[in-house]
Amino acid sequence: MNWLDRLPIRTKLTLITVLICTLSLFLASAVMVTYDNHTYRVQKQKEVAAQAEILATRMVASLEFDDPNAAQEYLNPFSLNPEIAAAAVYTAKGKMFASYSRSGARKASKTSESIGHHYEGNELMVFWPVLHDQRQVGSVYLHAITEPLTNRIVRFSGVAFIALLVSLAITLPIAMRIHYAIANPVYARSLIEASLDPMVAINPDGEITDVNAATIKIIGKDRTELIGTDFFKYFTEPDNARQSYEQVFANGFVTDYPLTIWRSDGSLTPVLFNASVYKDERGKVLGVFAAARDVTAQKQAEKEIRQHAVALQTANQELEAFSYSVSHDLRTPLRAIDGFSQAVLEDYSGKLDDQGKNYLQRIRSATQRMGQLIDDMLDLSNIARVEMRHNTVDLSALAQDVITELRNNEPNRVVECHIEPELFAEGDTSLLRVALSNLLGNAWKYSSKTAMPVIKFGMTQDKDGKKEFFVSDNGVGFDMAYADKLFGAFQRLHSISEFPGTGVGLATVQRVIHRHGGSIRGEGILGEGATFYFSLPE
Amino acid sequence: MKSKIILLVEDNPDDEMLTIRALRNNNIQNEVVVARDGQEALDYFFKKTGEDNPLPAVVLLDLKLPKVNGLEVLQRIRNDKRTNLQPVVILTSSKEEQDIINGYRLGANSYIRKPVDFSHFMEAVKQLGLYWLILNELPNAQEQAK
Repeated sequence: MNWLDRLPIRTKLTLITVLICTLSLFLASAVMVTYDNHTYRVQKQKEVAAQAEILATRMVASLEFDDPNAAQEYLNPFSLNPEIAAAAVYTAKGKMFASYSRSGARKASKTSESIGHHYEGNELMVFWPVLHDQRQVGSVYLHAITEPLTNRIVRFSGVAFIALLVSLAITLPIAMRIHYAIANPVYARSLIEASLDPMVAINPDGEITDVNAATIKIIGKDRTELIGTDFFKYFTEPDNARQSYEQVFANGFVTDYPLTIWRSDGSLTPVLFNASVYKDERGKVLGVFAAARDVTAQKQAEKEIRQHAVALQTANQELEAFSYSVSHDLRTPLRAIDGFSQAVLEDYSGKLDDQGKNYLQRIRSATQRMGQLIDDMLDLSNIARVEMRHNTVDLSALAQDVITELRNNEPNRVVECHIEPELFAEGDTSLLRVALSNLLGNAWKYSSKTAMPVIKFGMTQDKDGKKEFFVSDNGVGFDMAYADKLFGAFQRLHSISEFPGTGVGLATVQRVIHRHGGSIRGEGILGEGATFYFSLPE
Repeated sequence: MKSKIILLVEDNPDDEMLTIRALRNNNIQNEVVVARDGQEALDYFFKKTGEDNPLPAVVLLDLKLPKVNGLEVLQRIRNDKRTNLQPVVILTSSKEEQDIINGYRLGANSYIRKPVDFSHFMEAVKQLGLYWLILNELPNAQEQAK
């Protein structure tokens, strides 16, 4: 029954119409066929009996004069009648006098049978008395073949089928009109019942006149308990609910009116009400149709979002406080270590041998390096914290600035620099400057031991055809086996004595690019150079 | 004329000693008054002890201080008509953007970050001393009080 349940109500009604039409026509046809067959048989029997009577009259003389040849001559013309398969004449004593039978047909019996008629299937046998002066002088026999019943049924069925088509052609459109009129309200009602939002109709006195299943569920009372009761009493603030109702009458509608439903078991459901007036066909206001939306989940979600926001803010404040403290407090003792080491070197230089002085120098340089690490770490955390200001950034100009600065810092180095002009990107200028300054600074640094250093900044396309910027150098490069360590904070692929640095440069670059929603990767060949590709959303 | 006074507001004894050492090493022999927290600094200016302390040529002000923090000390100095023209140099470990902005907003005359490297620190203190004690002209003390 499942597939039947799933059919639309209109299809069901149409199916019923077709079924009833067909069934009634079939029954009518069956009755007709039966009646017609009966009539036909009686008719045939009368016809054959009439022929037998005529034959009997003619046979009187032949029988009286015992002239079978004359009788035979009366029988022979039956060959012209396709209905008659056999005929015979019998004497008064029942002996066969004369007979005729069509070739292939059953022969008449040798002796007479009792007067009367009977059917064998569609074959009719008639015995008729031959009378002369109130005296039976013999009998005649006729064997007629009537039309088979099946022929008639087939013919009738054809007619009935045409009749069915004609009647369906007439009744279906009418039926469908009626179905539409019936199905529409049922369909509309089923939609209202299917709604997960509680829906209520309220009359101008504020009484509930209709509810759907969702209303029953949310209030926790039956339909019969609800209908006729005061609508407002189901809310935590009945006056507020009444006010919303009056607002509907004043404006014709309310949207997203917040109320709280008071369930019969005491639990509360926050909802938003949307309601409008409904009218009869003449425009008279009949009442208010209201639909509520259960916003428990939204309220819960909002609460969670607020909690998350507070937690995030707390975490950010803690991070802020932490880096503030690092910035102030971690550097102070370092300065003391470095300062007093220097003081010892200055004031007690005569009492120290070279090794002692060397140790103090080592303390000093380690201290300074620690200072640098703290500064870089703070810069890195700062990159994640600063507010971004988006605008169009001229990356080519930024790169040029950085190169100029690098040249000024080391005027003795000869480096060939190629900067592709007019490369623009959307982003935060100062953050992108930090990124380019680190990338170009690395290129500058790691090509310092190359004979003819070449640094390039430009744009290319990745394998998917996406725009990518790149910074390349022909310096020491790196082993791709360590590529996953490139962007980790404080990760270095070279020793400090070889190339100085703290290992936060690329971590900083990655953080900048990620904050812009872009991506970065590095490719290198040991001894041949490195290229860093980065993309920025357009 | 009495020699110009430096008011050093510094809670860390190491930094105090290193700052004074840096001054002396650079041949700046002016009197250095040390306030070891924010309250002591305010007391130098505002506490009634019979005779008012002379206004320093410059205040070297650390920010992270016990009791009353450096920015609040600065604010109180600027809000008092006796001291609102007082040159104040913030000399601190931090280079937090917020500290720099707030320092200038409250009327700091300068913001110097103490370098970890003592050689750099020496250089910074030397420049400070030269600038504020020798090059810079101060407003008349009586004018300030008006």
